[in-house]
Amino acid sequence: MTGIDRQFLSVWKKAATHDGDSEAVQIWTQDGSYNGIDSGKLGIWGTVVGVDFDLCIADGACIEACPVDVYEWIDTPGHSASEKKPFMPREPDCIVCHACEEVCPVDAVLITAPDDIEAAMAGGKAEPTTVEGEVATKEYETPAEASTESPEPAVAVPAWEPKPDTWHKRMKESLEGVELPDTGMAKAKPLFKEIRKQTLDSLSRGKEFIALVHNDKCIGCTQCVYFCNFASIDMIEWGLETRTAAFESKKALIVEDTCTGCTLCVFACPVEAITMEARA
Amino acid sequence: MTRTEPYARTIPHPLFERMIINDANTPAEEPWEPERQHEYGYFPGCVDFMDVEVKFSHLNKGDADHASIAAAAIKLMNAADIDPLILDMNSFKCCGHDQLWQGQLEVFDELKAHNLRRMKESGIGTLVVTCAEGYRTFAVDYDLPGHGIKVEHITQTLRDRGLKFKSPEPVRVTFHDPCRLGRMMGEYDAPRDLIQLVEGAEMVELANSREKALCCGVSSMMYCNDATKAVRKKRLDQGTDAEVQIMLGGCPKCYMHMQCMLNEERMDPGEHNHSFEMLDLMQFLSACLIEETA
Repeated sequence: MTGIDRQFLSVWKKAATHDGDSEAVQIWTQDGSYNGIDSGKLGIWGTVVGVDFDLCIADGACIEACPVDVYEWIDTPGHSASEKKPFMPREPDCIVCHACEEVCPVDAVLITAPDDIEAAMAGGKAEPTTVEGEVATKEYETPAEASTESPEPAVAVPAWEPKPDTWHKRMKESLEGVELPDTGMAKAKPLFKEIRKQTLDSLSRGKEFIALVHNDKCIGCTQCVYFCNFASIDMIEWGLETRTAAFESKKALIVEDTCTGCTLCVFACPVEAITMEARA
Repeated sequence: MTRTEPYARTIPHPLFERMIINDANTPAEEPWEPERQHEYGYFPGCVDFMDVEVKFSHLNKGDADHASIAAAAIKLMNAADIDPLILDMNSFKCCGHDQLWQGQLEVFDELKAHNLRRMKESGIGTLVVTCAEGYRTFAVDYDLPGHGIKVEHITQTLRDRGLKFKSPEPVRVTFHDPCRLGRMMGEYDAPRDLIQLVEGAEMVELANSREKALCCGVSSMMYCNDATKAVRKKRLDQGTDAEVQIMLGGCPKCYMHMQCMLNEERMDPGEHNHSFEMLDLMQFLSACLIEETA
């Protein structure tokens, strides 16, 4: 089996800790031995955000994907797979959206919801991730398609129609090697992150909460569908009284059973049509 | 069905809007000076600003790649022996077009005051923009020509530069006139002249073109709803009627909104007939450019 050991919380041993921003990050190894960051054998770092540093190839996908900026690079000189790793100093900020898990090309990330940590450590559950467990027991047609055999958290990929993209590819090729000069990205990035953090702090999230779409506000742009990591959003034709006879957009509908309350769709929504509400 | 709540008036994209307002209200007092003098300045504008962290490139499954418009423009300008000063977001701010048209005048005034000062400090003689909205804003609302700086849309800059283009395959293209470039600034010919330069590209006009062109539907990011989508759908339908393979635009906003619509339709296979691509003119020209080996 490739990828991170999905039972590591119960099977692997606590070996050391590394200072994070507010809380120390746990380091796990199979036999409990850990010889420092330059030893070439690093084990799994993090508890909620578990990353197998020995598998990690440092392509940076998780750092890009994280909406709450949990990760930052840490140098691991002399490691055979890559000489830097995505360290998680802001692990307590994790909103359990599984975005990083989703993008990791070597399947080195395992996110466990804080509420499930104890159970996972006790090894009580065969499937430590809540998402997986929940989806497997539900009868929803959308997630079920993808979830039956897959060992990964069930994510059904909607059947998108492929678009003609010959010229898009040609354009990309023609621009290969054209280095975009510094356009002030360095300034925009922290600015945006700061504002995003303000918004995020004002949102309720977690398993007790669910995303709700306001049909009056939803413009049917489908961005949330692309963003949702749990295939938890469908586009539904409601037959509402439309404002124009020429066009009627579908509205997003959050599938209650698979929504984990991660707030990613709230960010994706361009018109603030999605809010987080407490589950009844 | 009766409506209990008023229609939402959230301006898309709320975080991005907040970021611009935040940026506008952060004063930057210290003077700035470019490393050396340039005759031309290139303002990529929101194109890259948006594409940084608001992740427009990541939306639409990565199809609306705005940073590539800026990259293509710089590549084409370099091919035309223009060495532009990049007026980046380290020293400049968003041009404020959307804020002006949304009625946030105090935000626009802040942005304008900042950018005008920076324009004078930059010492450029001609400002080149790839965005039709930016073009109008700098030329009319900032009145840069009145401050001694010529404003050009990139199509005007590149038109008589002796660039050579050849399409890799015969292709049928059309040009979607952006409102700001066409109706507002009266520039219809420059983009068409550029398309004429492309060997192997057949230019056809849409049913509504030039002065009578249809809008992409979302002027200044005010709102997107079924009515604006109906306009956009009508425009895309005209592309289908003209049997084009590529619809070209001269404004990143048109590009963005058309892409969004095309992506939305991908969810409903079989319910539409828009089987062509939407590209910005700069992206198309970059793909067709014959690079001279010096």
